[in-house]
Amino acid sequence: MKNFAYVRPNSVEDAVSRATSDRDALFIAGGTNLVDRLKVFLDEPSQLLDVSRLAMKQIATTNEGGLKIGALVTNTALANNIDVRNNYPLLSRAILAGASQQIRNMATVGGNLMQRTRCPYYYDTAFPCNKRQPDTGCPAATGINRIHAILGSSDRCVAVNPSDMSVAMVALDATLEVQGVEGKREIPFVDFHRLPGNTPERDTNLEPGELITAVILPPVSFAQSGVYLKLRDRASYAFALVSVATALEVSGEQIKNARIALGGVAHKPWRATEAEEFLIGKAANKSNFEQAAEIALKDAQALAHNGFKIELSKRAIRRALAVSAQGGGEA
Amino acid sequence: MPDSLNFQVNNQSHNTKCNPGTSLLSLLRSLGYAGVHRVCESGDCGSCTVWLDDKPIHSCIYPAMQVDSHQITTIEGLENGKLSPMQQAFLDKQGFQCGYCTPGMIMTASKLEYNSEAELRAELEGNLCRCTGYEAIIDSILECGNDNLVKPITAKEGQVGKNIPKQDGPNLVTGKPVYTADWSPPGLLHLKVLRSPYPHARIREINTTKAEALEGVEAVFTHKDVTRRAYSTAGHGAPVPDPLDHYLLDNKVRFIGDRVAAVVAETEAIAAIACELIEVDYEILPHAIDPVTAMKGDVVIHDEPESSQIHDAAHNIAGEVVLEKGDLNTGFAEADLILENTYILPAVQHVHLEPHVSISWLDEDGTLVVRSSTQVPFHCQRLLSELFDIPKEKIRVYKPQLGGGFGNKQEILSEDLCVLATLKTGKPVQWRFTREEEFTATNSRHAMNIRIKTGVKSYGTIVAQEMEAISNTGAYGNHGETVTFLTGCFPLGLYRCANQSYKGTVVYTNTMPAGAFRGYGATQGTFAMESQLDEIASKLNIDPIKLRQQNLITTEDEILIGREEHFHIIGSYALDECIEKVTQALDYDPEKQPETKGHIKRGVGFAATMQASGLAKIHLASVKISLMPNGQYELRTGSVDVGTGSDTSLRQIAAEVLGTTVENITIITADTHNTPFDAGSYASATAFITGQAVNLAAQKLRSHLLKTAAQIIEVNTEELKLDEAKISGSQTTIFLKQLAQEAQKRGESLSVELEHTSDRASLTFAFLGVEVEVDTETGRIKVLRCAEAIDIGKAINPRICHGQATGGLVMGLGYALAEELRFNEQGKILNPGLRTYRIPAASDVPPMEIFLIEKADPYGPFGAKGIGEIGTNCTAPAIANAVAQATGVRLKQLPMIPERVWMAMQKLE
Ligand SMILES: Cc1cc2nc3c(=O)[nH]c(=O)nc-3n(C[C@H](O)[C@H](O)[C@H](O)COP(=O)(O)OP(=O)(O)OC[C@H]3O[C@@H](n4cnc5c(N)ncnc54)[C@H](O)[C@@H]3O)c2cc1C
Ligand code: FES
Ligand code: FES
Repeated sequence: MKNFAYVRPNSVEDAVSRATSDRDALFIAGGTNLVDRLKVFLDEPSQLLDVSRLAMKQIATTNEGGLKIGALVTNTALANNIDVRNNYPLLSRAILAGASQQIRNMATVGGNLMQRTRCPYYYDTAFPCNKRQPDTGCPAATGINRIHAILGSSDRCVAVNPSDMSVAMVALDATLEVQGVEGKREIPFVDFHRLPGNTPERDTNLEPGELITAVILPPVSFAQSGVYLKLRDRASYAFALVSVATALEVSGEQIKNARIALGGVAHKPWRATEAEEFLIGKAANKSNFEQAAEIALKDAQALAHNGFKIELSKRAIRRALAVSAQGGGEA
Repeated sequence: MPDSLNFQVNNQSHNTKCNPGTSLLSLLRSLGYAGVHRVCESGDCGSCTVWLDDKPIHSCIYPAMQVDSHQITTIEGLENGKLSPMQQAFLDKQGFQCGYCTPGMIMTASKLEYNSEAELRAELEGNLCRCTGYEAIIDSILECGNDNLVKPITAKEGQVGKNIPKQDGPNLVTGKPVYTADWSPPGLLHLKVLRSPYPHARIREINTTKAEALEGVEAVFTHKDVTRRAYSTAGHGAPVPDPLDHYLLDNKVRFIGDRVAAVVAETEAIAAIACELIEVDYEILPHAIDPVTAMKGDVVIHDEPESSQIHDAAHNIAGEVVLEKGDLNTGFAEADLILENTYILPAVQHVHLEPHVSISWLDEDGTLVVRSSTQVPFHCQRLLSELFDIPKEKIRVYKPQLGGGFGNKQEILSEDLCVLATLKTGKPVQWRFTREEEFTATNSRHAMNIRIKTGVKSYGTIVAQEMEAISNTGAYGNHGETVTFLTGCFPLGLYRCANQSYKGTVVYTNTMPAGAFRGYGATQGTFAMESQLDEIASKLNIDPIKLRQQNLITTEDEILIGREEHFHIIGSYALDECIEKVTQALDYDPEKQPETKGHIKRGVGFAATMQASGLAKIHLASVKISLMPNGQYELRTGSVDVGTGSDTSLRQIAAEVLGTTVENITIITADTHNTPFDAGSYASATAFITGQAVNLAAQKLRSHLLKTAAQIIEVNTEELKLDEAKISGSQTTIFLKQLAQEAQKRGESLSVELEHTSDRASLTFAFLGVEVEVDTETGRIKVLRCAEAIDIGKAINPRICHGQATGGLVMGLGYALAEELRFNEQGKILNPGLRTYRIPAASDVPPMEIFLIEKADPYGPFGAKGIGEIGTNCTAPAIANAVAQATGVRLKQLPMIPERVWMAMQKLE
């Protein structure tokens, strides 16, 4: 690790103003992702702004009947929160499907949504990487890329976003509340993470200096049907090869409302809107789920080693939808 | 920046300053909390778990700067006059072997909430263990707080055959500073190595000026500073069988990660920065990653004239093994069915949680002392003596508690440069490998391609077998030929077949070297052989169990293949009973069709194996056993307890012979200055060879004591009986303490020292059955349950043997389903960490039923045979066979990761 300063801002405003005036400063919350990166010299900040002691640790019910979750709520606290477990079981399951107890005890909501890709080439400074150092090249595109993107990648970057929580958040239509020097603004979750395009160094649409202060979940009447299915190399403690979040509102035979989001397949948590629209008004049966899965993956493109993820994603979508149609639970 | 940090550790206040980049782990260790173990430093293993305000966290990824005003609890803080309930449970149920994962496990487990065993296993996902297979850990946690627990026996009871607790337990569950890195002499310098970024290059020029100028740097060494002398890093007895092809520091690098230069500095961080300041001008050479390409000889990896014992350097062939018997042509001509397949086995890593670490310094009298995490202290001493021209008596190598080795510490990797630095600077030096170095610059299991061609009669008798292995030994040939020898020798030797041939070619490539790894080549060969047998069974429509029973060797057979000088022998044989136990445990019915439920298919599969106990006539163990003036015994042995519990088993053997208990026998081990020679801990030899040495020495001491007592109390020796603390005749009794003092007065020593090698290496057999479930939609294999029976001769300590079996089985499970070092075209390892290189976690492990079949072996102590390695061999082939039964898909490549399974199924469709 290189030398840097450590500062404890005393308010959200103080944190934001320091981060805005020093572009090389980085926020640190739980530190579970950042420390990991500092150790391998991925980031070389001038100073760390420790926001972990600021007051953003509440989970409150909103006037609309949803939840407002402070950015510093730990992953453990969020997953175990009674309202989350009852009203957004899919979020709770997605969080518990990730990392370890010890990490969830430290990791915060803001940090989880901001964690960076786990692409091994990004992580190894011996390789060039457009995300780490713009315009140096992308060895993953031609290298070992079994875990890499099948949707929305560019020739500059094929990395995937590793966050499980984000997949749930995008399926639940969450909104982010962020603060900059100019004040607060809201960003719909679907627009928060970016596709790599020509600027893979930017993961999100957060402006420099902005701090995430909260995530707002709208009420989702059919969230009980939520499913989070994570496929990975071993039974636990691994990032997803493919993950799927689904929820269905079925009335009689007919689908009224559908949510499908994919993780591990793209540079951002991937909402399969077209497949959702296809399902609306259709019967909740196997063949429609199959078609929805086909639609969701129709633009998918395989690299040399990750072709299996396309078919795997389709199967995962079908299985998750089938469980959602039965009212949700473990898939 | 806060001026200083105020926080509490185990209710004790601390006020310190630290660098903002420091992790809580480093801070705690620097404050003396050595029970917080450093393993991955990336949040992947849990060995560093502590509580932050009562919540378990990974201290390695927690910034020390954030600890201000918090309360930390470490393993040292759990003990409050007595052990915490969880510590007690781990002790009672022996939830550890080497103990390196134990403090973290206990810290996590103490705070877990769960409703079922499955939930417990899932919750334990942040803590990895490489030794136990988790079974004993899960048992410990489940039993915690259960007052009705039957208390385990203590060292006061029983001897051979009893579950005497591993005597290092109390130290391990409390996090005592017992490992190599937990203590060092004052004034310690730290060593780091600059490693090659190229797979193959010559060093034209190397400039260390900038590195030397950095403040805090003590010295920098390159090939110019060392005597050029070829040696092997393998820990073998002299004369070593391996190619002599490695140099302390060389003017050529042969894989990405090879040593270029060494820096010693005040801190590891300074040494690391200095490494980056070294300027090297490389002449980049063409390289070869793949053995088949390498054998063409377009690139010559060892072109230096000083290297020797290389089979064919011009074609990069480090060694060659040819074994033959009978006549293949005749055999194949008789066959009704001939099957030929190639199996592909990956390079995998040991992942012992404690890294390689050595500390060296010069004693007051000029003795060079090396404190090291090694399986072979005596071989290390010999090599150091040769490399630095120092007489052996002036070098002391000893090992503290070992945090696992699995073969990777049967290698001299970290001691040599430490010693170089100490000799040049006169100061104490430590070299500790990072986890990344463990993955990229130590050794792997040999990657192999194995082709087998088998001819059988229609009724199942094997009539001819031809096997050929191409074994990738990487940049250096350590263990290459000996490992590759066993690849053919054991799997072929296991079956009665008159016509067999084996050719093993050991090939250099520009990749990390391969070396010794539990199973030592037999693991690879067993996969190929046991897979093919099932294919034959299915082609001939014969029950695979029957096919094996028909062809397996029995006591009536001679081991026909191998080399005479290895003297492998069937001392005792219970493989038939093993098969019976396993098939019964799994309710095996050959008529039963595999089950299919939706996208889930189930199947069962089996595999057999054998492995020798030690190396006959080569593996030398000397022990010394004495009656001390306090009336207790002292056992000195150079053998190394890798964490398995051999120090306890050896004391049990001595106790049995001397009619006493483990408690009355102190043991001093693995110290070249204070214990007699032992070849070290490898080849499943400790129980069989060192154990027998202890047995014989104890018997001799016993007679000696009786004789001496008879003289003192003036009766006939025959009348006397030795038990516990005294020797008694019909009339008189003399306490051992008295006896010892009396002998001392007379200037007599009550001590026996003897050397032992075995004329024969007895074979241990094992049989494993597994039931698996294959998800045909995802390709995921789930092992539902397994049963393994090991023909162990005699279990000196059944619980310790059981732990070896479960640990080996789960290591095999990783090999079967997940583990693989991935290389790019340059031979660079792309997954050098525990996050991307996955070893099994608790939830990956199925229920395991272990049977230790005891049929005494005439050559081992009390009938015992080796068990250290055999458990690893069968898991992968048994799973592959079960998958084939379930799905019809035959997997010939490891690991059987979901996408491979799935793609194979697609092909079948
Ligand atoms: C071994 C391991 C396994 C893991 N497995 C999984 C997994 O399976 N699934 C999964 O989803 N995650 C996984 N994780 C990731 C883990 O969830 C994240 O590390 C964690 O959520 C990050 O939270 P943090 O508070 O520690 O973030 P920090 O490390 O403190 O910060 C991460 C980043 O976010 C920025 N940041 C933090 N807070 C804010 C804020 N409020 N506003 C703006 N920027 C902010 C920081 O500047 C930094 O760049 C794993 C991590 C490890 C180490
Ligand atoms: S050392 Fe901290 S998790 Fe491995
Ligand atoms: S006992 Fe768990 S790693 Fe050795």
